[in-house]
Amino acid sequence: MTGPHLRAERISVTFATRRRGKGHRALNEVTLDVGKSEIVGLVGESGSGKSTLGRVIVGLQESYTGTVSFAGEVLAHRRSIVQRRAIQMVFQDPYASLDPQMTVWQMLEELLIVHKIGGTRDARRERCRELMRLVHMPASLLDVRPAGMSGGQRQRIALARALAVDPQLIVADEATSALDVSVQAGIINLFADLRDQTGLSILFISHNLAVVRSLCDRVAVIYQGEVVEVAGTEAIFNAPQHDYTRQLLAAAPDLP
Amino acid sequence: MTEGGSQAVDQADSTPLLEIDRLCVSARIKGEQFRALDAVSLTVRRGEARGLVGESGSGKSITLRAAMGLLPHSLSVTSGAIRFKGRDLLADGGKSLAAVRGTGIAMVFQEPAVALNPVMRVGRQIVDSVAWRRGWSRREAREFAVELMTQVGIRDPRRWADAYPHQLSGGMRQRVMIAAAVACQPEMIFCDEPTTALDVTVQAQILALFKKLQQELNAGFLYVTHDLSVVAEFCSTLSVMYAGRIVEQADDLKAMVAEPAHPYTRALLAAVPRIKGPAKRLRGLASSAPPLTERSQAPAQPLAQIRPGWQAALATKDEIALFSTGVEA
Repeated sequence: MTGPHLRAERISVTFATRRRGKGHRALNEVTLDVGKSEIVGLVGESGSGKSTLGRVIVGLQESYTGTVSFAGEVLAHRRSIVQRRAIQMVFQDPYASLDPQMTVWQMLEELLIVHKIGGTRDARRERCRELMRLVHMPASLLDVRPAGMSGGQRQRIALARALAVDPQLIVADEATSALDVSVQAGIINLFADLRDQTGLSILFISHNLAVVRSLCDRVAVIYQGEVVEVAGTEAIFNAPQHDYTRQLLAAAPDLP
Repeated sequence: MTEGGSQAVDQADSTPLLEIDRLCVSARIKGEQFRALDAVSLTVRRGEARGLVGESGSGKSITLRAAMGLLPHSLSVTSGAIRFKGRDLLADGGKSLAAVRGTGIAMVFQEPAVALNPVMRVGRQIVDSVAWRRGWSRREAREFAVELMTQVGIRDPRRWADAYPHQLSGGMRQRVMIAAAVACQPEMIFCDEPTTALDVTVQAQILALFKKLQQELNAGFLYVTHDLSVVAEFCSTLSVMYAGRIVEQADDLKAMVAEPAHPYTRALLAAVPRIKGPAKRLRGLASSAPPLTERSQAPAQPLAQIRPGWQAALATKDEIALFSTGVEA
């Protein structure tokens, strides 16, 4: 295999607006790579197009121009079930992204059945226990519904759900933004460990520069639908080239 | 003036602007009473910006809401006092509180989209609280609104004064709420996560605006947030809460952040990702605050003096063990 693991090339997305005309161009010819086992940060403010790019990569935004290729294969705009399996997403709000009526076990098992993983019920149960270990949760919580869990626990379950189908890339969209700093630190470490242990690639979308610095290998800065700068994390933070990156860094609060 | 103080404090006025004195609040859950706040004491002086930080469930918002007299029905103040310029606001069944709210004290909330009235033009909304008190005409009120909007950095205020909240961006809405808060020229401003929903660039502008207002009005701020970096940017004094208690507070935020005395403060700071300095692996906390029903019901011990103007709770052996282990679970 040659080239990067994931390559989103010249992606443009235009949303129709109520008024007649050209519509709103949310992404304009954006190109972004994520290497195997690499953690890439995507930072920008609200409306910059960072979530839209994440949705294009995962396959939730089917209307775009440009190509998304993964492991050397160009992905169709409407993904096949196998293609969907390889790239999974974790969302911001752990309270909104889990079905309140299902226990963790039901949520995970449903996925395993849909994707035909795991074989017998016992094998599936064992796989779920393993997933819980992977996200540092007690297996006893498999039979609990989300209402009985804290925000951090829910986000770990959301991550376990993403991991259940053995993805190669996870797109995390503001996955720690709704959490307390103490809980956030645990989730960031979990992402880093998963990469080290399983070779997972991660596209980490966030508006929080300090979080991105603590986790990512490379950072892409997106502004008004265009990637304005991509560089290694330390290069971005020590020697930002683009004016907008400098502005973002100057605005970010920090401890003394 | 204590040696730990970094902010020039008004010497002539020795009574603090706001004094929360051993405030206890209890929560009623299924007919039983539980301690939600346990002997919380803190002061804010004129011109001082005090950060009040803690995780969800630490009681920081309850403290703020109690001080504003906005506790939900399930919570009630059981003992302690809240004094504004030496006057106990709780003593006469909330009458004094009603008198100072909107004149002496003002509030800025996290979500301006919710706090603002969606069907009232923002210009009118800003001056609504003061216009009738001062008996102004419509035109006078509008002129004042435009002046305030200019003061909080809204460009083209004449145009935006006639807009409704939904027509404004999040940052503009927060500016409108701040304009409404400063309309009465408050001496004390309570802030509840006012920049949490905003972009970093907008957040930086709002913090700069707060600094400007702090100087112009010489107002005291009690600034509640979970974001220690934001507090470090704006505040000069700091109180840290955990499980309904203050575990550490100092009149010199920088000194406290540099050498936290309580293991919980230390753990909390170790979890904060940094922009500058060496990139380190963060430390997650072993446990967040336990739910109310599982907390110790023993009364809190008084804080010990670390230095003048700097106090911390004595940590029990269990707490030291709990907060000192960096845990990944």
